[in-house]
Amino acid sequence: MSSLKRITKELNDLGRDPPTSCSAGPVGDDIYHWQASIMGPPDSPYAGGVFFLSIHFPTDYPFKPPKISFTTKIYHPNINANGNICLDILKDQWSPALTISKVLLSICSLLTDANPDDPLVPEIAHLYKTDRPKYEATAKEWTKKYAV
Amino acid sequence: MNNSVSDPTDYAKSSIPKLSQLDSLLRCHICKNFLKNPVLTPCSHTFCSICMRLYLSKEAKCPLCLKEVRESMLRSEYLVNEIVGSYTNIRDELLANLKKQEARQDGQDISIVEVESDSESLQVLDIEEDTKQYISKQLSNQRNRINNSHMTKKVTKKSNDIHSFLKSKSNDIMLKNSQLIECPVCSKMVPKQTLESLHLDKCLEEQSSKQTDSSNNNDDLTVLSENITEFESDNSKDKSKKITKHRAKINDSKLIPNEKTSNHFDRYLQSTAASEHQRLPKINFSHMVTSQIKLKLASLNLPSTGTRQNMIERYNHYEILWNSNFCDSINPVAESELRRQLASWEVSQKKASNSSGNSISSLMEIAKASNHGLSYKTLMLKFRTDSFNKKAWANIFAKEFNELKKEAMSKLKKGKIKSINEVPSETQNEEKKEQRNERNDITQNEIEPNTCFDLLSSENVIELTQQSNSNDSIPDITISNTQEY
Repeated sequence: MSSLKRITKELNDLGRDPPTSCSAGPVGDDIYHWQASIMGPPDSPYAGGVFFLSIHFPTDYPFKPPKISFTTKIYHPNINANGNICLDILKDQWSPALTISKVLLSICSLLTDANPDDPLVPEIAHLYKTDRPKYEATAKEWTKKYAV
Repeated sequence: MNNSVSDPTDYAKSSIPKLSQLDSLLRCHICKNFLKNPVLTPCSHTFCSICMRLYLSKEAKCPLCLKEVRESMLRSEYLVNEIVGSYTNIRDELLANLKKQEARQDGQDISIVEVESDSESLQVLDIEEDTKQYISKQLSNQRNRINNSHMTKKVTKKSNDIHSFLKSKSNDIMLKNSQLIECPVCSKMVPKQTLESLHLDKCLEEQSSKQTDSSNNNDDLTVLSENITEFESDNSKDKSKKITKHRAKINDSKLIPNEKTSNHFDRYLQSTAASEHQRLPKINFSHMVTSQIKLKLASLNLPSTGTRQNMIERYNHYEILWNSNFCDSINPVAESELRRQLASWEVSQKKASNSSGNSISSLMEIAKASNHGLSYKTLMLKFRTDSFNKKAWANIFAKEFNELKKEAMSKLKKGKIKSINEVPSETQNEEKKEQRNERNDITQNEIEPNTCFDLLSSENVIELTQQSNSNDSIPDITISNTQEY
């Protein structure tokens, strides 16, 4: 099956050329189910935290995007309490040319530069726009509390 | 499939790492394998025909630039197909050769092995006894010399080495005999004179006896024999040049002697877009009754079993297979092969729907082993929904997460150290090393307050998960926080 082959290849590539500050791999025997970790980017309020994610590949991957959600609690305008991520490339902007490695890097950059104009949690987005220091303080606090 | 494990980074350790670019350019961005029957989009991007058609049946845009693309806009690229074909044929050999050269540069004595194999090939030949003796003597001398000096990369240079070596021995007559030249037929290293007088004829005889039964290689043979007549009519000085010149050409066809389509160049020249098979149309099944669908399938010799939905999916996939094969392939397979592919696709589809259940049950077993069986099942069911319980999930997979964390931490550490000590030179003296160690200490000290490396120990992680467990009112916190602001 093409999806299996492609996912195996991506796993292989991750081993050969791992992206910085991210890691990912399958859970147990199921190649369609991965876990990943992202280190909080140093130039963000999430610095020092380690954030875990769950990845689920659809059987028609790469024609459909993988389902990715945070399992570590995080204070971010585009990530809600259930860990769902509002990221265009995981939805309508998905392309089969993307890989898990690229998606994880995109999530990393989402942590550095949030997108308050397309928020998943409007309250955080509002704070992000109006009172940036307060947002950063809360994000740091949450990182310390849940991700360190 | 050897290609399934190949990767552009294979070249990273070869003597030409930049070849990885060529390698990745010849791959499809959808399946990440080498392009198979490539098609060109209006936005000038290239993908495998089957990958692109499958994707376009779901989304009408280019995977790379997201511009609108429809299936009718695709054009097949025979040239790229043949480039990929000829590249993948030589890829393993290329890689092996590049690695060998790399090893030689590192000062290993692989060149000696080569020389030894040369002497073997010499012994197989019936050359004059004195030449043979001389060469073996010379080879043993050379062996000693190699250990101390650089070995040049190229074969031509190697013969130059021999040349200068022999000059020092002031033996010009023997020089002519012992200049090693690669035979255009068997690519063994043979003294020039022997090659001209005996070896080439012998090799050609063997070659022709091997190949007379395979009609496809006749072209190669005529090319070869043309070359030989040229050789014979020319002066001996030009011969060696000619041989090396023609070598590449002959070698190319020699690499895949038993394959039907040995010559990618010829196949490209002879390719024609016309096919006796018409492309299959897209059908709007919503206006068709089931019996009409069955008739349609029967007209294509396809089984009409299963539900209406099954039959529609079967036609749609067959249409993709058919069009990709008869419209885009330079060398289309028969309809029966397409039907076989369709059948195997259907089997894998059924398996996929079953295996999603299987994977859950296999994961269940893992979870049960850690006494989380019951909660795990509900977790899995809720994975795609908003009510997914990530706390419990994190709890079950604390160990796996911990591993990932360690991995990421170590990578981060390495990355930082690397960026600070940019490209350490090979000739480091003790002082430099000490300096480096100091720097490492500094970087670690810089990192530690932020990233808390101490937390790597498993005890702390357990604490963490317990902490997150005790915080049962996480959603409440969110609400209270957001209300505050």
